[in-house]
Amino acid sequence: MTMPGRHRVRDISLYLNRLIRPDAKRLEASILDRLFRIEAESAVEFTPSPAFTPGVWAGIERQRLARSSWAYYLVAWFPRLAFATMALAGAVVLSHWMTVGPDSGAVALEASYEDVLIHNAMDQNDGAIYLLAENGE
Amino acid sequence: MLVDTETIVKAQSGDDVAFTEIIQAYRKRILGTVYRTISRGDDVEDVGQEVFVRLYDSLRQLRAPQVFEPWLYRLTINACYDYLRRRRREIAVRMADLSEEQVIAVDAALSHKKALEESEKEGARELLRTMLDRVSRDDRILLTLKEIQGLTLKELSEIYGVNTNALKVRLFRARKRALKAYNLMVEEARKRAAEDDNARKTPST
Repeated sequence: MTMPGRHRVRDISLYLNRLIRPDAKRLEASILDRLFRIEAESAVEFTPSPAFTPGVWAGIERQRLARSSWAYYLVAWFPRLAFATMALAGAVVLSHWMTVGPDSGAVALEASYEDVLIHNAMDQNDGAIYLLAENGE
Repeated sequence: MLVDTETIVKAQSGDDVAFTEIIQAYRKRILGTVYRTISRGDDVEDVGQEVFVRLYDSLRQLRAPQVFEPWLYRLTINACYDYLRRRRREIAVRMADLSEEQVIAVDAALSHKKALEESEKEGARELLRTMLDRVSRDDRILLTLKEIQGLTLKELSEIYGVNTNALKVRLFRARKRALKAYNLMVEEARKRAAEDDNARKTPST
C-alpha cells in the first residue's frame, strides 16, 4: 500500500479506508462474483418449444408481406427523401447566393437631383451659387 | 461455429433449408443468452424469434461468414436491448418481488457461508436479477455476457467492435455500478426492516 500525496485529501481518505477495512472491498467484489457464479452454475437451459422455428418463418413471412406494400417504402425512404430535399434546397440557396452575391455594394441615393446639383456647384464655386440658390436668385 | 461457412453462404443466397439449419443449430444458444439477459421466461421465445427474423433480413449484409457468430450475438444483444427499453416500466414494478428479509438473508449468506443451500441460491439468483434490473441496459447486457454467459474478452471485443482494453474499462465500471446497486438494495432492505421493527414496537394509538 503506497502512502498518498501530502495534500490530496481524497487519497488520504481512501488510504485510511483501506487501512481500517482492508477486506471490505475484496468482500464486496467476492459477493458480486458469487452472485454471478451462482447464476452461471444454475445452468438454466431454455428449451425452445416446437413452435419456435415455425414462428420464426411466420415472422419472416409477415415482414415480407409488410415490405411489399407502398407504405413500407414510404416510411423506409422518408429520411432519405427528407435529406435529399434539404440538400437540394441548400444547393439552390447557395447557387443563388453565389450568383447574386450577398450585397452588390450599391448605395441608395437619398438626395434629390436638385440637392446633388447644388452640392456639385458648391464644390466647384466654393459656395457662391449655393448662397444664390438659398436666396432664391 | 455450430454450422459450416458453406451453410451460411447458402443461406445468404436465399436457401431457406440452409437458414432453417442455422435456426436449429443456434436457437438454444440464442435463447439461453436472451433468457439470461432479459430474465423473463414468457418473452424469451418472442425475442429469440425476433433475432432470427432480423438475421434473415440482414444476412446478405454479412461480408465474411467467419464473423457470423459475433454478428449473431450483436443482433441478439440489440434485440434484448430493444426489449428492455420497451419493458422498462414493467421491470421497475417487478423490483418489489424480493422481500427485505430475503435480501438481508441472502446478503448475510453470501458474506459468511461458503456453501449455500438451494433456497439461498434461489434467493441469490433473484437478488442478482433485481440488481441487474437496477443497472443500465448496457451494463446489464455486458455483465450478463461476460460474467454469466462466460464469454471471453476476445469474443466480447469482436461483438462490441472495441479493443479489449476499452472493454476492460467498461467492465470495471459496470461491475462498480452493479456493486453500488447491490449495496443500495441491501441498505434499503435494512432500513425498511428497521422501520417495520420500529412500527411493530410502537403501538398505534
